[in-house]
Amino acid sequence: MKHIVQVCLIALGLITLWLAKTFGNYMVAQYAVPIPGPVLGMLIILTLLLMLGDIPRPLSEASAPLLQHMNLLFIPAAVGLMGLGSILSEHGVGIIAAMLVSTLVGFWVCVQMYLKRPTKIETKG
Amino acid sequence: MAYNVTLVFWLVSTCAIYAIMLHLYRRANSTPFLHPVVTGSAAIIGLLVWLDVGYESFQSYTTVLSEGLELATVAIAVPLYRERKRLAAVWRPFLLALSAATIINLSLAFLVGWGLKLNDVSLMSVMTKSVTTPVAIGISDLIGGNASLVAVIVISTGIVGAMLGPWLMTRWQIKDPVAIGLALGTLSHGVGTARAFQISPTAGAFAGLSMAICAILTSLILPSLMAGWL
Repeated sequence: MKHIVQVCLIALGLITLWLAKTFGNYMVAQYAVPIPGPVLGMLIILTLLLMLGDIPRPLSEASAPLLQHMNLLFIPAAVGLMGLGSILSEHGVGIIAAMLVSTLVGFWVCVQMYLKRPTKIETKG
Repeated sequence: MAYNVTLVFWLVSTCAIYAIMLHLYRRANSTPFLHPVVTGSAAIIGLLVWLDVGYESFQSYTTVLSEGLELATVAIAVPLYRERKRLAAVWRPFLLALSAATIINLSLAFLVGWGLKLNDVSLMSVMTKSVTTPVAIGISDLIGGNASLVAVIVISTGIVGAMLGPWLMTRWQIKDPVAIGLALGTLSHGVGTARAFQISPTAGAFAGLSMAICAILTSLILPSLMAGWL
């Protein structure tokens, strides 16, 4: 019985997330919003949660496994590597260099700018 | 019927390979070299080559996973809501650092790529490297990148960031979970966010927020910047 309830809660949560995503995609397509549909969906759910003042159980039950196993969801895109032999043999080194340099310097700029902020605010770990 | 059987076979194989690779990754104390996206996709490429299946077919069998990725993006609203008080306290330096890092990131990717004489398609594809896959593909359509190259560059950037980011943070003695999440989400989007959730829920929530803002910021500035170049 407990499991059935949980499965129903997760299903309900997934439907909510799907509705938000679909609405986001629709708005982006319809009104040429310059942000991606799922990101708009996330902002919509966040606004709703702030208005509710609480997280409904279906949403917390459905979001936990999705966030925990996000890596699984990246695998299909990563497999796309198999069709890129020719472009990578020609430009691979340049692409890797551009990617590494900008990412590493970006990390440094990001944490330095954030931690050297003028007003000291204590954040607990 | 046969299509459905093949579809189920590839979905189950992908999930099973992921589960095995995740187990190995955890057994090895989350060593970055065994990141499940790297080992998992390598194993699947091996299997596809061995069974002589093309990438387009594999992609069509696993659309439900790509769909799931969009749902996971929406789901980040939940941990973000839990962090609302902390966000209210730090939003100013948070946004400042995020914007600075995004601009430096884009400029350096462009300059290094241009200096190394990348062709326009590769150069435009590499510029989208730090935004989440669906957005990156959307931007690359506007500026003239190649969709599968973009997907691979974006995922690789995510993996490199998820591998090197936490290591750099330890070296630079950065312990603030907000700073770690901010850096991982801004520079390596969803893969970095997945890594940040392993560090702490706070780091994960801020990584998710940074990923979202970085995607918005990049989609606002990159197409207009590149319009001048092309």
